[in-house]
Amino acid sequence: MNVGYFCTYIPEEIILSCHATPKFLFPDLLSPTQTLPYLPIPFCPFSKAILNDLLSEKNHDLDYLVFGGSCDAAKKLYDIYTSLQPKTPCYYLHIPLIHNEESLKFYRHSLHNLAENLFSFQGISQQNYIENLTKILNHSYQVKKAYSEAFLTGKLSGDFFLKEKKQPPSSWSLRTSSKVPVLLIASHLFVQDLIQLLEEKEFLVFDGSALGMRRYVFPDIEYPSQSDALDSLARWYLLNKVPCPGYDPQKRLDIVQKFINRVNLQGLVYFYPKFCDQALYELSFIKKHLKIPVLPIEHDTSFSSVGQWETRIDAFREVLSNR
Amino acid sequence: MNKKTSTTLSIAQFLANRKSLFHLLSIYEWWLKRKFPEPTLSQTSYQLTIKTIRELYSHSRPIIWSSLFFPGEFIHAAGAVPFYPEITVGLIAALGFSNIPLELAEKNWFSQDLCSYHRAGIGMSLIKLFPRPDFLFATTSICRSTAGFFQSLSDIWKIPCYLIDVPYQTTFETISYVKKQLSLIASEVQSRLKCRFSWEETLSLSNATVQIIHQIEELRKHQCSSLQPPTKNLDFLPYYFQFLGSPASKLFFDKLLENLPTIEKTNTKLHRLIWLHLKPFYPNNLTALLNEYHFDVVYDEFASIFWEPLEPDNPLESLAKKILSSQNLTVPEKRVNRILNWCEQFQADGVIQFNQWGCRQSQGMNFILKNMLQQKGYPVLLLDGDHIDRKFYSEEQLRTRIEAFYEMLEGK
Repeated sequence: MNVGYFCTYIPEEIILSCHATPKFLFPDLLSPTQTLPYLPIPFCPFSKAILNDLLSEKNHDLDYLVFGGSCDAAKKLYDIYTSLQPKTPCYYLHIPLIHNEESLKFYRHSLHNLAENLFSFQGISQQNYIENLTKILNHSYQVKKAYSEAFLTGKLSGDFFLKEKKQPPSSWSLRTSSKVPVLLIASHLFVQDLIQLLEEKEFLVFDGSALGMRRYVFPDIEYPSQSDALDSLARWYLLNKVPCPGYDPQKRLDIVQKFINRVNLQGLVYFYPKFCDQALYELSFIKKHLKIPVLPIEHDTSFSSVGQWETRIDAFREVLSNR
Repeated sequence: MNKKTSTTLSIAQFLANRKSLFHLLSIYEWWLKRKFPEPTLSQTSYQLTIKTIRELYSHSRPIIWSSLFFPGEFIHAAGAVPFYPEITVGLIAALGFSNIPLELAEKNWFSQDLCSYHRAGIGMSLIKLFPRPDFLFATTSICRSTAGFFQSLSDIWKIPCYLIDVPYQTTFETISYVKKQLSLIASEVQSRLKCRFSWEETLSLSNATVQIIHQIEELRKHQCSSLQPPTKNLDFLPYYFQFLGSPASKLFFDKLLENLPTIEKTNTKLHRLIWLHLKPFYPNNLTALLNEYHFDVVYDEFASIFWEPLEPDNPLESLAKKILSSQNLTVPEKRVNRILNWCEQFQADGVIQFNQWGCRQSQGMNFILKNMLQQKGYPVLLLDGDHIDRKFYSEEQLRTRIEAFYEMLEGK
């Protein structure tokens, strides 16, 4: 069974433990013609892109969909998709916006409900699921810890996280490069293209997008022996993962600031989807509090503004060179 | 910003921070009461507004800012003064000043694509013309960007923001989750303000006020009673949210019930409308157009009672349920079923929603809303624009759309 999801707060470990295959969705370049009747103009381009993909031929191999997040766009995407495709099994996972013991308990409870739905759908027993989860978590912990440490010490740059087959740890080393190191903050769309564009312009890019840091980096992750598997999983994803925009802005800023100091980043490229309220609020917060130059670039569902982006990136390169 | 505006703002800032000056308003209130011992509805509303301005700017009691769907009863029970920035920016827009805070917010990187209720609230905070808050409370029910708004306010005013995270479903677990969050906030308020919550009095008052609101609704169901001009009821929002649970709200609705205007019978048929979401609050021609095309707004979604009666002996759970009940305005099946029910009960001919440019939750539901209502035979008009930012207002476009809707209803 293939389970589609796009929110980085949805643990793929739960899907794997139910003998299903997680498919992380991030749409390609597109013109979202299929979504025109359903979503208004001032609406999240990523939601339009996802809905377009889900309604087109592309995702017919998906047997189950997990929607997540707590933003208005994610909720409406779920509402519209379920009204258009009522027969596709779907689950909406609420991601708590606050981070304390109560929200952790609630998130754990929601994860348990998601797992129950999935293993019942798959026809496997709870016992079997729990055994799988425990095994998977041991491996997952090692991978997450290794990725997090390597990324936060500047060893994983470029499109490392985007590659299907990632290089082994032995090849990870601190890059000594004449390129200008920058952090790319982005959502799901055009990440590969933008990394490529920035690298062409002699930047050393660290991928802080939903396909990179937000998905794979879990600072301070722990897995104490004897701990309950689902407790640990809830803690990893709600408390340890790099928060997405709109979730704990101060913690997110602290992580980014620490990373900037550690890797000596020269600038930040903030590549954000038009009409994404979370990103729009974060942009003003970052512009106010971050002490390095920030280049904001807005995008919609098309790649047609690439010429403008190039000009602005060139200008940004000059600003950084003159500092 | 030109020099004249800048000077006016400086004077306003100077005055807004003079607490003693606002204490003097109590003399004016005393005089008003003597002059109008039996005040009319508008005099009552005016007197309550002056009292609120005095309480807020003299800071005689702690001031708690909250988002629209955080229950006012919680704040009244704590003995604090509630301040709802999303409601107050409506007043700023009505006075024709919303462009100043909107511009300032944009200069500080708050994009034009964000909700203008929030942008204007941020702008007013940046210029420190709103009364300084002691607490910031917000819920994520209905609108998630409220969290971003209140997090920004927290950053501007340098005080912590208490967010109530509201899940998208109502279950035993979600009620308990929201209740626990309210309980944590209540403990914090109790310890910082050294107060005891007067739940019994506040929640009973809220329930009694809701009873009066229901009586007004009953009268509006019949073709002889109406609130004029159309959409007027949305000007009374402070009494449905900010003052609910206080004597002010009950007094206001008592007066409204007494003074509910009746419609004189004419030969012209009025088209009865259900109004969804809010409306543009800056000076505009909307009500004149609705009158011109013989539309009467018989029910307004945002002035609807979406929760069950509160339980004074179980206050926090009861308020948690109220917060979760706001799903009635955002979960499609729940929302549409309520609208259909109003259409039937109020004998409505159609439905109008005035979209707000930066409001994802309402616009994201437009397709489902329109589809489901039209399937049941109710025509829907979705007007595009902005409630606070006049830049997005086009009178000609509004006229064309309303005229077309009128012709369609006439042809039915």
